[in-house]
Amino acid sequence: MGDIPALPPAQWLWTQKAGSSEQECEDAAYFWQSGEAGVDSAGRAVASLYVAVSDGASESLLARDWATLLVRDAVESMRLAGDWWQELGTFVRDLMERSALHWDAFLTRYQAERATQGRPITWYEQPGLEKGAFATVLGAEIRATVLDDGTTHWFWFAFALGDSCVFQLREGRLVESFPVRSVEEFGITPQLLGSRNHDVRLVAERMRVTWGELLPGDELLLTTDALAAWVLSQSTDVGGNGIVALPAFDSFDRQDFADWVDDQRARGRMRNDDVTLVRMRAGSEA
Amino acid sequence: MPYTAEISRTNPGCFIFLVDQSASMSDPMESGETTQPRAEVVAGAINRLLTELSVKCAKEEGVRDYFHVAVIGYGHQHVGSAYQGALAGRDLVPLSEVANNPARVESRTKKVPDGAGGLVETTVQFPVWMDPVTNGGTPMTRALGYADTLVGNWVDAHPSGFPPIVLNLTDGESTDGDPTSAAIGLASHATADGPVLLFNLHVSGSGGAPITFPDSEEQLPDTYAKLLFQMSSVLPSHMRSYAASQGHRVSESTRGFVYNADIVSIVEFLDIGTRATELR
Repeated sequence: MGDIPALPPAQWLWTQKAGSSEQECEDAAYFWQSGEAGVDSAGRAVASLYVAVSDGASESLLARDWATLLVRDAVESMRLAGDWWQELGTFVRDLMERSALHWDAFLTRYQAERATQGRPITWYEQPGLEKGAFATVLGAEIRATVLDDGTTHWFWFAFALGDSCVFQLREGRLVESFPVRSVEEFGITPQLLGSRNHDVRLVAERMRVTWGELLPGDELLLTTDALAAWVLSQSTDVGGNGIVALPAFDSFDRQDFADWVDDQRARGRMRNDDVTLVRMRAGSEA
Repeated sequence: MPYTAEISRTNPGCFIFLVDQSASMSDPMESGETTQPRAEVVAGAINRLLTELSVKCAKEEGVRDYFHVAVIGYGHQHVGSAYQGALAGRDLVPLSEVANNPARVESRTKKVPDGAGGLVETTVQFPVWMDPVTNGGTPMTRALGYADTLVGNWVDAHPSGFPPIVLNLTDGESTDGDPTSAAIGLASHATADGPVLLFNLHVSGSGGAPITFPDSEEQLPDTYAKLLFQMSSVLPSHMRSYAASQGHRVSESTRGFVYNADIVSIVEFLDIGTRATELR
């Protein structure tokens, strides 16, 4: 069994919608990587980085909390399932049961806190609480696998419900776009996971899954919809030769990212929305 | 592209409801087998519109001021605010204040699915901002003029925002002259995002089938309905899309006009962000 090379570090950048405070941002992201190598179903040494991104629906109450909970549960469900994409129904059931359990506990705490604060739930909140919170969910696993010949291959596996996207770039070209492939597909009614949705079969049917191989230097970007639409507006030929002119994200901190997003909004190139990017580069520093 | 301006706290929208409070509004609205005084129908619609707007814009910290809302009554020798309670006498009010200041909140019972194929009674809170009022003539032209002033001031202060929406709820029997000119004048105000939208809900005793968002006046039963249809703005394309998604047949000529039918769904036409929709 060969040595597992270092997993790519993930870079997380985000900014809130113009006019909102940081606390009002309803995007969430989470990533986790194992400290040591594991073994896959074929007995090969593997190491994985798990990433999830979620975009809370602005018309729902507690969307930020739901999105925050979902990204952690998505990573946990992927991590515990191993080859989670092979048994999607089982994976979806695990994720939905896990998140429902956590959400019920959260809601109990939330309502108790509101009562303690002397702010009981109002008539205008009640319908929203009964309807539940809604969010997209996008998860990805970047897995290094040591093959029998001792070489390491990199793969990525992703699932998506809604319009948060993952992009694979190779030398600036858009190799893959998932699950949305054109700007026209974005709208204000994306598919969403509701906190009161317990229909595992329906969610499994709607959930999309894909995978791909990563070559050294390839970039993976996980984004919420406003930035995803921006990326797709840069390149209309997914899999073609068009170059996506990305800014130098690798040198960005959160303020640089917020400034860049503000500039794109001011130029009318990006819709005003919360924006999240989680970025990894395979086989090199991010 | 018109009617695409963002509606947010920094770029709020403006909603003006005009409510016919004339004596003829005590007459029944006949639609199918149900009969109810028109004033009750209209007051109920206003209270539900304000409720739906508040719920739509509610977040954990309270209702966000995505809209400023006026409820203007017109009846016997009076055109002015129809808010009751703490908001009495006020015209355009930020939505958070509207939500926090109904005249009263009633508890009503309603039957909801019990999850096992049956129905179970539950108590819901029903906020009330205005009660039915019926008195005197129908100064619709003056009411449109009142809205004209509010809209003019709003457009001056928000020149790039989503254009104001004026929704007139009436039996259509204007007693201060043909309101057409006043309607044209009102709809001539515009922001950079497009002209003011004027919609009408006609509550009528003429009977016939309820009609929602028609694209011609052919099916309308009387001259009042036809006049209100002609006064109504064509629905912008994104609103047409929502009307279509709710099962209405629409065309590029579809107008914001409803005859003896529910108007509250119009709140769903407003874009303030990603909708909370169940997976299908």
